[in-house]
Amino acid sequence: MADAEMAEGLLCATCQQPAKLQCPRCLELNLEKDLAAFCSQECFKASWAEHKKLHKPSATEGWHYCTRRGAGRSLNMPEFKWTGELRPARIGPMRPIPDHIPKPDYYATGYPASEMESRQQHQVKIRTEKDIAGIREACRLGRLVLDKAHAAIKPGVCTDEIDRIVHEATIEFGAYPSPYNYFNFPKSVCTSINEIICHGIPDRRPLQEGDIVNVDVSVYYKGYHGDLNETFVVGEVDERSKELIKVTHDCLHKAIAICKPGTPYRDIGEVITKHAKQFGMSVVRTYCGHGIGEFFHCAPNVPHYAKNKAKGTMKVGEIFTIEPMINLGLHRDKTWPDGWTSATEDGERSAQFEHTLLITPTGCELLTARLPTSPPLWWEKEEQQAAKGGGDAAAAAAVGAS
Amino acid sequence: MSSSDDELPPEAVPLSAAPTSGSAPAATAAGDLDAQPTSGAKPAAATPPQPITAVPVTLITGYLGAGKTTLVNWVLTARHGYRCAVLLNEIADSADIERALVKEPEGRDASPLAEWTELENGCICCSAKNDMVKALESLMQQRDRFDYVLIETTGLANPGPVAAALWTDEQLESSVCLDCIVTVVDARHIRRQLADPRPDGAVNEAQQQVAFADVVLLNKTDLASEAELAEIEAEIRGMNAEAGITRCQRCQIDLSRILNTGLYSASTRPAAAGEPQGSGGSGGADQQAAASQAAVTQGAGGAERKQPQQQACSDGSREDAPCSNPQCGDPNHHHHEHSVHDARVGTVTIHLPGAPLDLSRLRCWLDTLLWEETADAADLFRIKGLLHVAGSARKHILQGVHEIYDIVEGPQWAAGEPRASKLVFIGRRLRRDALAADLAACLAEQ
Repeated sequence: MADAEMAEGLLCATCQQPAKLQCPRCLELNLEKDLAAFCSQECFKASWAEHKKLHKPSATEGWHYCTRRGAGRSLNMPEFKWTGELRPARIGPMRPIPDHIPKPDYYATGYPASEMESRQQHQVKIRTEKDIAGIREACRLGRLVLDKAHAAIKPGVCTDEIDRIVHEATIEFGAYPSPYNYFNFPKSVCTSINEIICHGIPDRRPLQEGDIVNVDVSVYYKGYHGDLNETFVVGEVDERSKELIKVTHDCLHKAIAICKPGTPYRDIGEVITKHAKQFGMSVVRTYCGHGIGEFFHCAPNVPHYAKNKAKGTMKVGEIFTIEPMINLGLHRDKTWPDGWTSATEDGERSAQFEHTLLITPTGCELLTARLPTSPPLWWEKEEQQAAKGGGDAAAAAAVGAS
Repeated sequence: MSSSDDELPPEAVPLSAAPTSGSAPAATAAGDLDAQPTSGAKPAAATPPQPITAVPVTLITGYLGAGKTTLVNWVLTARHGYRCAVLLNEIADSADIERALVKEPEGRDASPLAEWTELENGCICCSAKNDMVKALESLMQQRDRFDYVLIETTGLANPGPVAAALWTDEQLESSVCLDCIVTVVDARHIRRQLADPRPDGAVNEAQQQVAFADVVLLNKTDLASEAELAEIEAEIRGMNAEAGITRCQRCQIDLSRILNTGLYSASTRPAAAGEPQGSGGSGGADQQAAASQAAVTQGAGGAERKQPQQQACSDGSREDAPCSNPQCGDPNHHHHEHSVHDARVGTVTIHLPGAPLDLSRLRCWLDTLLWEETADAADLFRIKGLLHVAGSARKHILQGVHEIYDIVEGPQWAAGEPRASKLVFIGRRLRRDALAADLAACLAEQ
């Protein structure tokens, strides 16, 4: 339905009435028509001051395609051998962050110099009580923000709107959205749809019935980062995609189950790979879990694939993420020309779940654990619905069997 | 084009209007939309995944003036059939290299291609720090141009982090893989360089470089007597009993000794640690034969006593005699005082005839040995081993570089072949008695 609207009945960019006219400059530049259509000269003229920003690539004005790893913008979609049906859409200007929000160094430069130069890149830090309290709070806020984004997921909502929700909720907590300008990432959250493995950039594309979408939230609060993500269904989704999401979730939790002092980090990949393989799915290798704390990414490096040579065994007080990315098809990935978006090489769908966890004397603690208020994941929703109508269904089944 | 800055809007045109012919796309436009429909396009037919063959990398280390650049020039001008790329690596802090490789692709954009200079067989890039990695990667995007990479480190660099970073998991299907670590030494100066003391137990870089080597090129042999050369070789073997030593002048060697050895490839890795190699890749067998010859001489009985560490201990700085029995439980062998010589690099080889190793116990012990920081911890540079593992009919091969190690299955034990394990440790502050006792505890329950 959305497709038909796009193709035939373009709406006026100003008043949303059926459009008959278009901007001649957009036509000349060969820009997409969704923001170039107008119902009348009056609406066109009324929007001109804002509309003309589309004619010149800028990170601070108008809607453009992301290039150069977030540092560049282009008016037109880059040429690329896309691996699936998904295409990038134009992204909006970078959202402002108020002065009172404490910011990491990369906010100003796009380069996390303190992180890159830290010896925590090589040496896993045993966290102090103060660190743990700080990271725990950042993780808790991250959870609240992700739940807010989850609640907004439905057909027709574009990922840029998810970005707005995450951006505003994070700032409302007095926190900084960690992805913002991290190595020039242009948005405050990663949204990865269907065949996108991770690092999808929120854009103008509306979520479609049958999509799956991962939302990866990271917040920086009082000097500490917290990091988590989940994969959601958009409306009704096919069974194999739902299975992919559940298997990915279970891969994460099977990995979490072995986390305790003395477990080698390399074992995580064995557990994840074993479970994914049982369902004919594959494990992405290019991206790993990571240490987290005063830096967004640091040691340890936590591969999700089997037969890795990861260094180190877990110790009490270490904090890191596990974030398996599981593919329905082959494990290989290909990066889009925006420099960030990682797609499956075969175009098959990919899902991901992530927690930040702390190693404790008896095992581990999920710092990003779901809350009673967290919106249900797809199978939880089905279980709830089954329980609601459960009595009737069970009775019906009993009748049928007798 | 300036019309985009106009303050006054133009007249809107009908939606049905087509672009005026001859209108050029914006200068910044990266592509033509019409040429690439964005909707309804079927995904490109999935091309069958190509098996990725990584380009091998040989790491060249050596003290200042030893002849590394001479070797590079020899590789670049000799007729060997490889199209080689060479990186001159000005590493101030070699740790940066490790980080850059591991953290990729978080790095900034780099444009290293501009730095490549064409030479006869390849090209040379002068890059600093993390840019080396960027350079390697962009280099590999032109794979059809290169089939080998040489990295020349600076004279004082610790080759460990660079080597470990290059030794990526095969699962990552990296476009480059570590193939061989070559250390060039100068026959005139190496003994003095190896003997040069360092304050506060700091490592002597020349010793460290010898320790990491798969192959040592003993260069400038025309400037030393046969007796001197023999002494140098003995000293090098004492530090690194596993390295193959090749004498040369002006680094003119048979390049098959240092190119495409397959030493680090899980699929092609020759059985290490003295395992006689029947067949192998070109050069691999040759070099391996040299290495195994060295190992065999070391492996014979008390040959280890020739090593500096043991020599020092038998000089009287150590109460207990070196114990070569891994089953030894004599409490007197523990807790001997470290002598000054402990800071020297040495090789300890331990044979475990008969009983097989319990693989998970061995891994657990190696984890502790390599990763736990204790007051008297050994400083390990390399570990190699041929393992007889409980419950497996296959040989297992252990390879360790810097802080990482790998144990992979090798070929089956031949019928009638005596099954035994042999482990080789190269590093500083190695205590043979402690290593042997720990390994004995890793044997499978009988």
